[in-house]
Amino acid sequence: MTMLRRLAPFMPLLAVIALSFFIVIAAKGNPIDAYSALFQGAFGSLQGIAETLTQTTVLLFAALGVAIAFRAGLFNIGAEGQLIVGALCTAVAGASLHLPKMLEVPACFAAGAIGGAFWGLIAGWLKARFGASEVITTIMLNYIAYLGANFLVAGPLRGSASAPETAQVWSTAMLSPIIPLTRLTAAFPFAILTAIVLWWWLHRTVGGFEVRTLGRSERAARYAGIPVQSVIIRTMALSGALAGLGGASDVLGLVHRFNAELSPGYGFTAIAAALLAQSNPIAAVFTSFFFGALQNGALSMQALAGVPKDLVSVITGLVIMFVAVNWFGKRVTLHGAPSADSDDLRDEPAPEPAT
Amino acid sequence: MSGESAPLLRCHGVSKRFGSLVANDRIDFDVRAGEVHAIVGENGAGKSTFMNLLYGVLQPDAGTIEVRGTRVRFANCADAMRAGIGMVFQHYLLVERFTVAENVLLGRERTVRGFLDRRTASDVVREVAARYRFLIDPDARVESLGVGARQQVELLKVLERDPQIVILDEPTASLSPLEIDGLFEVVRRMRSQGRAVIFITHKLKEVMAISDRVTVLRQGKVVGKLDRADASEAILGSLMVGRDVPPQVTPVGPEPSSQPVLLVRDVVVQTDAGTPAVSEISLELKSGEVVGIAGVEGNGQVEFAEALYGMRACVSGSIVLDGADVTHAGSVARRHAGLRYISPDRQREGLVLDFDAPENMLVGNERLMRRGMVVDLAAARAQADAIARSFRIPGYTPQAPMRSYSGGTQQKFLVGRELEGGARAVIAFAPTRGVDIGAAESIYEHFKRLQAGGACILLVSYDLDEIRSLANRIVVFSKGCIVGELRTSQADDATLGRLMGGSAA
Amino acid sequence: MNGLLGLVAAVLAIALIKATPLVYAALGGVISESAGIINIALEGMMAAGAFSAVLGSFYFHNLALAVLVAMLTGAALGLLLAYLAVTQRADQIVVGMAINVLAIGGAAFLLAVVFGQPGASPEVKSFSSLGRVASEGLMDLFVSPGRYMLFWVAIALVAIVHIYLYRTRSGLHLRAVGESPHAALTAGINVIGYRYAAAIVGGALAALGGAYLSIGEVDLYSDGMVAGRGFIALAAVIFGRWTPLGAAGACVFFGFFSSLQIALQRAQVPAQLLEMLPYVLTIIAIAGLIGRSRPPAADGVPFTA
Repeated sequence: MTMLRRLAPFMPLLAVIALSFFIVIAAKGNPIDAYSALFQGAFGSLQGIAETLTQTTVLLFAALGVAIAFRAGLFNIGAEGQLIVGALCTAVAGASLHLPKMLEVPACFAAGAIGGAFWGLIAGWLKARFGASEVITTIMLNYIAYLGANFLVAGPLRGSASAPETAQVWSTAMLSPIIPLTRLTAAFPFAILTAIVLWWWLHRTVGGFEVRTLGRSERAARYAGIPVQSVIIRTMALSGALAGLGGASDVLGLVHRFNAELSPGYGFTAIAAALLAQSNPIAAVFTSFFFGALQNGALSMQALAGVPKDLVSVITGLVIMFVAVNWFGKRVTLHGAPSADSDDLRDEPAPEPAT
Repeated sequence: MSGESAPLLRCHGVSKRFGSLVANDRIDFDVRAGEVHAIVGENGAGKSTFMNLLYGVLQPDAGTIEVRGTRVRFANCADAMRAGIGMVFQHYLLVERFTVAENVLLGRERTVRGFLDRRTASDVVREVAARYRFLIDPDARVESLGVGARQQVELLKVLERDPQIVILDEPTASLSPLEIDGLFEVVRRMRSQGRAVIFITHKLKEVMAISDRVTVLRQGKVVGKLDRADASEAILGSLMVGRDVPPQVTPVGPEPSSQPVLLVRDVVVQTDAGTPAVSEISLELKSGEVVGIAGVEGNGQVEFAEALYGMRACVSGSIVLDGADVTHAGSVARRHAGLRYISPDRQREGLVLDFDAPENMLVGNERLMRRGMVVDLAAARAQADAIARSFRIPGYTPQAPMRSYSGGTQQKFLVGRELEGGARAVIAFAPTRGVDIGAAESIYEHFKRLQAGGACILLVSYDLDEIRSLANRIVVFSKGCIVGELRTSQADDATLGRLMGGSAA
Repeated sequence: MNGLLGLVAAVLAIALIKATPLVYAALGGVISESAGIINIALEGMMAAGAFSAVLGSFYFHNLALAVLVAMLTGAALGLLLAYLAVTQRADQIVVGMAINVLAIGGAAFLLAVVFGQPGASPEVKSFSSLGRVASEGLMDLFVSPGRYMLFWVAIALVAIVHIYLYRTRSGLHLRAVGESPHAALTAGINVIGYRYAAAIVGGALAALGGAYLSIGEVDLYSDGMVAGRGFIALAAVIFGRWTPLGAAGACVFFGFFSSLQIALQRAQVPAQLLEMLPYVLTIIAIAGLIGRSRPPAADGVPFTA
């Protein structure tokens, strides 16, 4: 491997950061000021770091969900919707169940996982049974989730007189901060643990092996006797469950209730994080942290350096774009290992959505 | 009959290589007006490459091509078309959703006042079709047509442009006997119109039926050029298949016992499209025996192998392994019972190139090599190491992705995996395709060891040398049926060539 | 007009008006997908068009130029899509997502940078300043053609795109490129050229739909004003079986739900449930439960000669 090719996985990030410098300059801002303000906000104080990690938590869960789907060759654009459904289920469970803490918290997280799993399962079933493109169905389901949640909290599930939101969850459901005066809860180490467990599952178990094989080569999966339809459904459910856990951690740790505006687009940033991590669960920890820092630091960047916080969205979009590009003749695929361009290997296009 | 006229097309010393593979080696060829000149050869003889050179899809590395006495260089198909050459490809290039007329006139549509003139287009196509007595509706959508009709559309695409030289690449591959007769009629008309027709095929009967001259290719070289009067199926078969050095009759391995291991009865299999691929094949493999399935690619071997392994359902028939009926079992269960499959496509099916060697040992085996829900990586690693030792693989590292190894090494891993761990019946499909001699020898050695252990091997191959050096018995597939069965010692070139060419025994 | 007839006419009028931006984007989607390029980025292209139209109106005080600016912006995004998808052979879904995030984020970013106020731009000259709204009914469309110019242009475009695709040589070639690029290539058709052109035109049209939202219906740009219409347009393309007439019809059909929603507000039928219908219907459509839904055969597959 030449030196240049070794750089390929890092190029997207480097290119984007370089490009962002130019964008800030064009917007008549000072990139040095902007980035140092961003750093300040994200890491400059204990509160800052805690908040960055808090943002990372939700992103990480969602990114893990997206990543696991990618590993099976599925495009889960629906993390946002799965997150919302999970959050709603968690809020309802949290408000209705009155159990001691040891039981209440796991029960609420489970509710979130189940809700998200259900939402992911719909898309998985549609793909396995009808060949319906999961890209389209998950996008549609995002909107259905958002609208449905809006409807429910304005009406049947409304628990508060002042705003369309559910009732506050029971006191034992609320996660307390692990660093005082911050919003960082036990959800963060839980997320890290989940990433590790997911990595282990993917690389050490039969189920994970089947997912990885299917993602690399559907023909090899059939040859190996892997039940393709079943794996698709299971994986989408797992993917949704992970996103649902993200929603749950938001409800239990941050807002303690559900309203439909609770996600500032976590689901989409998670896609960027998963792509940048090349769908590796451990790498996703770091990329989620990167985007969490961006999200958190952006407010400071806007306040102190006058650069609008939407720069973060621009960076996110650029990251996704640059990840998809052929760097130095080596296309970095969605699953992680680079695919070399060679004549006798007809490059199978990345999962063809059966639209 | 063609008179002695100057050739319309002449090639001299044409060569083409792909990396280290010489696909065409100094080919001399010519064809005259009003002549049908057949080019025959086995799979891999270089026929398709040569045709692609004539039509501008590829460019020769050496040699000259002359059309009507003038040197030409075709940078693309459009150049060849302008020179008056038309080609019907073996794999049809049709737009399914468009009508026949739209396909035939693609790129040269008839317009009126800037808009498509459907009526004129239909008329034009109808007229050309009538000239060749094709019963085809210009306004029908291609997706609704059967194979024979589709070929007619491909022919119309070419004939509508009125080319002087027509190339037909394996035109009868999927046609019924009736459709083949119809095609020959068309070819005869083209000849009587003064066109030069180049007819590529591996079916010797057709050559004898339709051609005026025959050129035989083998391993990229011209090994024979005859007038039809001087040729016969036997002679052609010999040329097509024979070796320069008479084959050494190598000892074939241990004499098989009479204990049947794999019993296949009346198996019927369909293609993905639902058409028949294999009709009522019955085979019996005894312990220690190697049975070779010979035949040209595309005669049902792939469907048959997949059905045996459990990747494809049998419409009817039964498969029994060591006395146990596995007809309705899935591939994992069959594997457990001792059935193995060396896939013909190591890159996309048998192996996962991005996985490392130990993980590739798990492909197919993941439900067998495990402890509970955890895969047994230690066992996988041990198996990969064992294969590396036993096949003498240089430069083996367990962490390297399979992609980093050569084709021959990849094949060794694939074969090693399939032969390990209680294999009783191995379907070896093209086990040494694209593999260097050293690796092939290594693989054959392991086959012999397996036979000595009492297992049997069903060897499906497109390489007759390979079959003759390994098999006790040879069975020839043609159009999904067994057209002949012989002991290897009786399988001479002429007989095999004839059987593979479609003649009954 | 009175009573029931008046109500129906009003509902129809609103449906048509609501459908207009969708129609532009859907036509853009139909064109690019007909050439084999999946365009998930309609949403982002609409946002880019909406914002740049406001920008154009702000700087040039001229509606024609504003529309032109929007179309050029959309064309540029289409060019980007084509470059990444065709030349770089990157995955078209990922690239589409990238353009979406980039365009929407970029619009928000520029909104703050150029106008200094986050969230919404100042009011600019728009089509709504031409002509008056007499009765919020069907007759408005005819009485104030200037104000509703973009609506009439949309109708004309549906016919133009249909005629182009099905009645001209070029349109046939474009469809051939999307169905079977190798057959098109061996027939001498410039596959790469058509794909680029289709993506560029598709982007321009989608942006035009966005321009309608910002300077056609209202007179400013605000964050999130596209609100998923790009995806509804994509749904309309699928629901309309990748044909211009079908897609336009689907847009009007979806427009009905917006219209009904307003009408039924007083009846207290939950708005969100109606808003959900386009998405639910699309899912049903691509599950093949409403007839057979087949995109161009080579849709989304990178072309290797």
